[in-house]
Amino acid sequence: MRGKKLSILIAVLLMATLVLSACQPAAVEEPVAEPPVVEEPAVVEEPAVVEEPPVVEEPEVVEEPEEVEDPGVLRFWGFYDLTNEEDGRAVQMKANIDAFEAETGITVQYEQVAWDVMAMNVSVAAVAGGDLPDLIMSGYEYIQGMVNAGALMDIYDEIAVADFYSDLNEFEKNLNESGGMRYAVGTFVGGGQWYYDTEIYPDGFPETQEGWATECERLSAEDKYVATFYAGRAEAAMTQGLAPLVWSLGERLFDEEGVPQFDSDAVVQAIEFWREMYNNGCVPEVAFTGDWSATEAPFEDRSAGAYRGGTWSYIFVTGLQERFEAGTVAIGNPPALTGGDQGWVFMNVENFAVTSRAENVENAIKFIEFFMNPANLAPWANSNFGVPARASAMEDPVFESKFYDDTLANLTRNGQGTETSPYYNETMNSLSATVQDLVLNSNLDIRSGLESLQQEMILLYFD
Amino acid sequence: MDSQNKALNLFINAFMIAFCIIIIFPVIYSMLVSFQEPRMAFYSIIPERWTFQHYIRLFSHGLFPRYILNSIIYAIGGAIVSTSLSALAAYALARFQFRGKGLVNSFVLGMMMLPGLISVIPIYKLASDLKLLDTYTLLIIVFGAYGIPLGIWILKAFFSSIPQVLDEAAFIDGATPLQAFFKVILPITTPGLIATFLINFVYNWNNFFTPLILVTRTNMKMATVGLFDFQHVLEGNQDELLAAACVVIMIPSILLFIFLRDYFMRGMIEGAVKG
Amino acid sequence: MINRSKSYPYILVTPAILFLMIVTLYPTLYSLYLAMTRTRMGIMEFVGFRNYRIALMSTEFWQSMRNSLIFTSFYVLLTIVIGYGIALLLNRGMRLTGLYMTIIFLPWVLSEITTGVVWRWMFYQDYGILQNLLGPLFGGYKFISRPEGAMGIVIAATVWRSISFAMLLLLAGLQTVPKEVHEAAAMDGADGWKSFWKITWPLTLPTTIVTIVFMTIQAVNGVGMILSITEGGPGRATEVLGLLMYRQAMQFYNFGYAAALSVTLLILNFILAAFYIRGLNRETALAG
Repeated sequence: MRGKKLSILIAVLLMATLVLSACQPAAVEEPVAEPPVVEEPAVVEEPAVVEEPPVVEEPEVVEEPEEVEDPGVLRFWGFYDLTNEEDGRAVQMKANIDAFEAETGITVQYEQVAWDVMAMNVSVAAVAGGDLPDLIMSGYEYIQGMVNAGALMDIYDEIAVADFYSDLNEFEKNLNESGGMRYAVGTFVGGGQWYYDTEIYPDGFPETQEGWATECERLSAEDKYVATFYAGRAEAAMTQGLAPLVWSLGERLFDEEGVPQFDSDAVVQAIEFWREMYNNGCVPEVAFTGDWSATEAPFEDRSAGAYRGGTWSYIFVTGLQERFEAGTVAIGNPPALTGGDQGWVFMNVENFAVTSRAENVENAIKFIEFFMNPANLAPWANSNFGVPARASAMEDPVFESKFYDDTLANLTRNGQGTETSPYYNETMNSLSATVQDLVLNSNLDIRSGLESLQQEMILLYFD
Repeated sequence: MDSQNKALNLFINAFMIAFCIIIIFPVIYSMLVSFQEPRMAFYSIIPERWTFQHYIRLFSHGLFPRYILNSIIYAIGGAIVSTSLSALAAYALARFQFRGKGLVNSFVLGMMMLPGLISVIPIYKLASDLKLLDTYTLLIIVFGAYGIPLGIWILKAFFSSIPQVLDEAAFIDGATPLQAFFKVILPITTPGLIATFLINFVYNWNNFFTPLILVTRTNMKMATVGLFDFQHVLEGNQDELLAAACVVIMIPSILLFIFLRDYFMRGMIEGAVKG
Repeated sequence: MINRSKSYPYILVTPAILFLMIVTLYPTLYSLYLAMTRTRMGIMEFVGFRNYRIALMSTEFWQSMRNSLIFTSFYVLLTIVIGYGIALLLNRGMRLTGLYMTIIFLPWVLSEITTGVVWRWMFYQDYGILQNLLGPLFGGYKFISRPEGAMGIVIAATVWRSISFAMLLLLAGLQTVPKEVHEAAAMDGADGWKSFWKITWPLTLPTTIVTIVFMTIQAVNGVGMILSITEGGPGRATEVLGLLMYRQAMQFYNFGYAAALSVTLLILNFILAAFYIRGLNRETALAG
């Protein structure tokens, strides 16, 4: 009786599996002229009870040309859903991977891991002995944390002999190389960028606290906001929003060793500024309480005069590209707090990194070299609207546009590399929660809130 | 007196209907949203144009079918483990007298009162040390264990309600207790077994927090965790797509519950009254 | 009782007990040890009570305790009161009772994440249905972006989901009160209200106590719902202790600190569990 019940269940399970796996109709209404969408190409997992055994292939290094050798695999964790045809970056990544596979015969086993959890997943896997891939993508600010967790491999020697090495721009080298070690290779530089509506600000975008206050009065009468930006409870909100404000006063959020200094006067002033903007309705509430897309909406419907996005904003903000090309939106300079002379935007480089437990290091390096080929790098950087990390790739005609001219000007004049710390993610995350509390609750004392946070961060991570 | 009663009854029924509408509203709402055109969900409750595109998109792109498969594996696997183990234990507890029985009873009761939250993180740490993370085995074992206290609770009641004479009759016929169990008792308590299995299945299927912590590898995730990820990964307002995912996850539970409600209720009530 | 072979019951019981020990008991005990460690640069070191000291000094910890207290008290109060009321109504044995119970039970068989996400939509700042409905009543108050509002939403959603559980337990308790008792009271001239207070309520008190304790444990477990709706926001307004624990462990991998938090949670639970055992004893004493 029991056996019968079990076999019925197993039969049902099998049927369900068959039905679901057969259930992949070709994509119906995609505008892009692509062949029918197939599920993620290279990830092959058997639904067995056993963990996937690590793929060990013949190593690539051969002295003399031999008979047919298996080029092997490359296990790669990337940010994008390769089946998403509406995201230019995913499309480009997929194209690059396909081309790489065709050229080298190496099979790329791709897995998607979102950008905001990539570093966490990699670090935890490294620390807890979990599965690590060969190659990952990562923003610059997370690299040090992963290095500290023992997750990344030093590839200074391999990269120093690569043919693109001499061509890498100084910013990338400054960020990724130190003490004769290099843990990542940058593909493109991106950063924060302030876009403003030229009809709302015919005389330009205000760059001072007083300027904001004045414009706020004028715009409130018209039921508009000075600007909108993402200042929610996420580490990125601190990196992109709070840190530049602190920099404008010549301070930094971390010291040279990466120890946080969250209770400085600069941070207090920055939070006071945000609180003022929130209370006076100069910045929409969703900036502090909504998610990314909710924050963009006021700029899209022109109720906010400006938007602090980044070089990538074309991808996410509807209508931005059209408005910029029509001249109704321009790129402005970031605001500085009172007492500071210049506003800043953060600058970042997106990297590839090889993990400490990579088994296919050669293939990973090959992939990086393939990617850094200007013919591949240019479209990749362009799909992210970033500046390629190789000077020669910059000469690609795809970068000849007002957008890139202005972007380059913005990054050159206003850009400063993001800070980093061994506990960047943790401390910035905690900071964002505290900041959100302090901005939304005017009866909380800012300084004591920051001081208690600072104390806790030191105790938890640096003592 | 009678008309007063009738009026009262009418009033109560009206109230209950209103109450039920309030209760069920969010569920209906999510279903409505799932059929809306993208970005249209918030202009009108009832869709102006009904579309299946989100469901099609869910099953043709990306990982969602994989997530559903994972959910099926974990839910069924865990339910099988907990039902079978608790059936054996409940039989022993209901039928036998043995030393330590009271201890076992208290132990099971005690485990029932430990909230799952407390043990998940140590399980994570232990599993990662044992390199069991991101395997099907881990979550099936954990789900299996989580379902045992409830299973014993329910099945003990079912077993107790079977008259002893049946056992005796079997023994007289020369059967061992185990044979008696499989051939005589078990068939009669099939409702109890089904109830336990279903309750466990639904609980596992819906489980969100435990798999969130224990399964982080993208293609091993359960549908519930996948949904949580979707929220973060999807750029822009794609609530209609999320709604479709919600509905797909909800459907098995709703269907099972509506058609097998009696099993559910009986299971819970038997346990509550006799436990 | 059968006493065929001495070893049979042990064989039968062992697999289940083993599972429970390995998966539930051992990790819980392990967390007591974990709570006294911290991991630096991949090396785990013993640090005694340091994690507890950090917690006691941390405003975040106290805020989450405060949030947990608020959440739990309102949640238990509402589920018991509403659950009892509905149970009373359903106890009358009306025709549609089965239908009512099915519908009320529906949220319980749905996942925290799917229902949480729906509640989040319904309260979207600008265009959520319930936000648009209720906002004007409070002068344009945006529930989900305000600390009190967010807490209210989260409580409402969790109550909505688990009302059926409380109702079922209380209904079971109500049904143990024989009809004759009511009829006798009615014959003695007691009206509905008196009959309830003097008879029904005391008789179902043990069940009510048990339900209270069960719901309190549920409140502690209800982190998934909160995570789906507000993720602890805005700021730390809805970050209950369980959420803080999750964050510390899974986002910052401070496993030692998270374990210390979970031990605190456990102690809270033990206190509540003690009530459960006492209530159960009272119930069996009364019934027996």
